[in-house]
Amino acid sequence: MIEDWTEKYRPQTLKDVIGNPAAVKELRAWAGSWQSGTPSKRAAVLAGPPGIGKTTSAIALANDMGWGVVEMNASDQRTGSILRDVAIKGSRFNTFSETGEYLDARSGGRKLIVLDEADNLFGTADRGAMPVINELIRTTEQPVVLIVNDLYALTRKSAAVKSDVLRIDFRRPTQRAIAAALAAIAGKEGIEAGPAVLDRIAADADGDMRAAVRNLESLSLGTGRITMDSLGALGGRNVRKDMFDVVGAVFRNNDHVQARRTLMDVDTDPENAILWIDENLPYEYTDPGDLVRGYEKLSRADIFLGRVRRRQYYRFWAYASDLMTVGVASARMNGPPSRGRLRFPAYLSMMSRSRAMRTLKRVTLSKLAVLNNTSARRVESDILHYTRQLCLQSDDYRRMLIRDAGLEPDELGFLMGMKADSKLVRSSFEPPAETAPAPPEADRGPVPEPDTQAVDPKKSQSNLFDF
Amino acid sequence: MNEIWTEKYRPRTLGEVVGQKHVTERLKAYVAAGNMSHLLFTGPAGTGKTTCALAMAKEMFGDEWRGNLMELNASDERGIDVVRGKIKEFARTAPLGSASFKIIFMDEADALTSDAQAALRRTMERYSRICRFILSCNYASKIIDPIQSRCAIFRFSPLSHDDLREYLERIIELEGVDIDEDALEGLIHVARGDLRKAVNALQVSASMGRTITLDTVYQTTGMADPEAVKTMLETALGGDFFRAREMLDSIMIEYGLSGQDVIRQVHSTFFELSITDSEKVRLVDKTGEIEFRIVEGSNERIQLEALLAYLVMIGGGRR
Repeated sequence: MIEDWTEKYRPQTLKDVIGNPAAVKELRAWAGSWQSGTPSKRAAVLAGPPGIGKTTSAIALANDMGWGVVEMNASDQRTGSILRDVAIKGSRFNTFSETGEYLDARSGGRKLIVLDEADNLFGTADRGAMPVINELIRTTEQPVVLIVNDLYALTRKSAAVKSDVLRIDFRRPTQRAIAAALAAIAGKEGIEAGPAVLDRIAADADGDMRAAVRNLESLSLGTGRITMDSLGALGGRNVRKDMFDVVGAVFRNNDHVQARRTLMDVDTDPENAILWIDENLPYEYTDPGDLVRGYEKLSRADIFLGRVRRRQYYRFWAYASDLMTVGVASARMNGPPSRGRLRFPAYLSMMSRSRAMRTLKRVTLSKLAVLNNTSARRVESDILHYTRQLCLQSDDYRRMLIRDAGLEPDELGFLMGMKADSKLVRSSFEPPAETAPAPPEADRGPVPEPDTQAVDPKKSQSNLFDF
Repeated sequence: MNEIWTEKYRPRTLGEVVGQKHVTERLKAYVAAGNMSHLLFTGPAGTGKTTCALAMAKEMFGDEWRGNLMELNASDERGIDVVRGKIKEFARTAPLGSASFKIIFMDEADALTSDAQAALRRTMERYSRICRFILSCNYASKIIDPIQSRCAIFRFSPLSHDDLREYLERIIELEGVDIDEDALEGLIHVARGDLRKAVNALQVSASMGRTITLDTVYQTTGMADPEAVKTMLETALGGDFFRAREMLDSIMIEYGLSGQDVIRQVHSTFFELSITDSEKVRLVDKTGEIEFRIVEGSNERIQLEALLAYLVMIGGGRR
C-alpha cells in the first residue's frame, strides 16, 4: 500500500490548510457555536473550484473538534431513502452502524455529516434527495457540511440552502502560497527542485493546490529530482492559458494560417474553442464591416459543428476549425489591431451555472414524454406550454402528474417556475386535507379521473391526445 | 496473415514504445519506483495511449498484471451506474499477489457522461491507497476540471516521420514485406502521425500479394496521388472545367475513391495552393458545404462538379 501524495499531504488540521484564512476562521467559529447547543444555522456550505481545500477543511475541522465524520459523496447512490438512513438517522441518534462507507464514526460524541459534491445529485439516480437534504438542514442535531463547486446548482433547487445555511466561500490560493507548500513537501520527500521549478509548477496549477501536488509527485516519482527540462513531461494543465494562445493567434497574429496550427496543437476541441473566439470577436473587431465578416465565418463554423452533433460525422470538425481560425483571422480588413485584454468566455460560466437546470429539464421532459406517449422533443415543442399552465391552474392536475408521471418536487417546481420547496409545490405532495382550505388558484371542479382531465378540453386535446 | 499486426506488434514494454519519449521516461521511473499517481493520457488516435498503459501495467505487476488491471472502454460503459457499481467494486478490493495497488484503465474517458465523471471523483481519492486510475481521451477539455485536478496529465503527440518509419521498417523486415521506397514514404504521409493507421494500411497493402507500390498504398488507404489532386484544383482555378472534370473522373475511377475520400484530400490541399488567405477560407467553407451535400445527396460526382465550377469562378476573379 503506497500513499498517494494528495492524500498523504492532505492537511489533517485546519492550521495546515493552504490559503483561505477567512473561510477557515468562519468554519471554526461555526463549529465553536455547536459547543454550546444547536446554532441557528445548523449547516454550512463550502463553495469553490476544485482542488482548493473544501473537503480537506471539512475533515480537518472534524479532527480538530474531535468529531466523527459521516461522509456521502457522488460515488454513493444518494436517493432520498438512502440519505435519510445515513444522514438523518446519523444526525439524530448517537449510535451509528459502522459499515465500510463511514469514515471513522466514533461512538458517542458529535458527528460531522459531510455531503460532498452536493451539486451533483442526479435526476433519477438520486431520486428524492433534495427534500431530505432540506429536512436535514433544518432539523439536524449534528453539524452538517455541504460541499459544492457550483453553489447555484444547489440553491436553485432549494430555498432552504439559501436562507438556512451558512455560506463559506473558498478561493484559489495564490501562486506564492502554493509554491511554499510545494517546497515543504519537496523537503519532506527529499526531492531536489529549485525555487524556479516549484514556481512553474505552482503557476501551471492555476490555483489548484491538489493539481500542484499531483504534478510535483508525478514529476519526481522514481527520480527524486525535477529540473526545468523535465517539466515538459507533463501536458499543460493550464487550458485557460492554451486557449488564450489560440485567441491570440486568431486576433493578434498577421500569419492567419498559423492560427489553424495553434488550434491543432492545443488540447481542446472546436466546440470549446469557438466559445473563446466568439467572446473576444466583438472586442477585437471594432469596425462594423470586420465584425460582420468575422461573425459570418463564425456562423458558418457553427453550422458545421451542428452537423457533427446531429450526424456524429466528425469530419466536419476540420471545416469548423478552419473557419473559426483562418476564417475569422482573415476577416479583419479595416479595423486597427486591438490592444485590450483577451477574455474568458462568459458563456462557459453561464453554462456551468445552468448545468443542473438543463439536467432537470431533460429528466422532466422525458417523464412527460412517457405520459403523453410521445418523444421528449415533441413534449418540449408542442406540449410543455400547456402542461405548465395546467400545473399552475389546477392542484388536481399537479397531483395527477405526481401520481402518473412520478414527478419529484424539483421537477414539478421546474414546470411551475418555482423552487422545489416552495409552499405550492410542497402542498401538492401532501395528502389533500378535507378541512384545509383549497389554495385560491386551485381547480374547484370535481375530483377528476386520471385519464379524463377536468381541464379545459381545448387545451387537453392537443396535450393528451397528441400522438 | 492470420493475425492483426497492430496487436502482434503492439510494444510489450515501455522501452519498445515508439516516440513519446517525454512520457515513457516518466512511466519507466514509475515502474522503477513501484508507484504512480492517477494519470490522464490525452492525444489523437494511434499515438500509444493504450499501449503505454498496458505496457506499464505489465512491467509494474509482472505475472500478476491481469488480476490487477481492469480495462474499461467508456464508450461502451459510460453511465453513472458503472462508476458507482463495477468501478467502485474493483477499486475498493485489495490488490492481488505482491502488488501494492491496482490500476483501472479507462479508454475513451471523454465518452463518460458528466454525471458519471462527477461520481468518479471521490472514488479516485477514497481508494487511492490501493487503486490508481489511468484515463485516456482525445481531448482533455472533455474531462471535467475536478478529475483533471486529480490526475497528472500526459499529452501524446502525433508520431514523427522518423518514428513511424523506424517502426514500419521493423515490421516490413519481420514479415518479409516487399515494398518500394516511394510506397513507404507514401504510407507515412497518409498516416499523419497515427501508427495504428500506418500499420493497418501496411497489412492491407501486403495482403494484396505483390510488391507494394505507391499506387497500392493510395488504393488501400482511400487516397489519390496528392499531386493529381493538386493538379486538378489548379486546372479548375485556371478556368478549364472540362479538363478538371476528366481528372476528377480518372481519380475516382483509377483509384476507386469515393466522393468523401476525394473531398477530404481536396480540403487538405487548399493550404498548399498559392492563393490568398481569404480565398482559402472561401474554398474551405465551400468544400465543407459540398462534403455536407455529398453526405446528404445521392450523386457525389455532381457535388464535386459543383465544387469545380466554383473553383473556375474563383479563378476567373483572379485572372
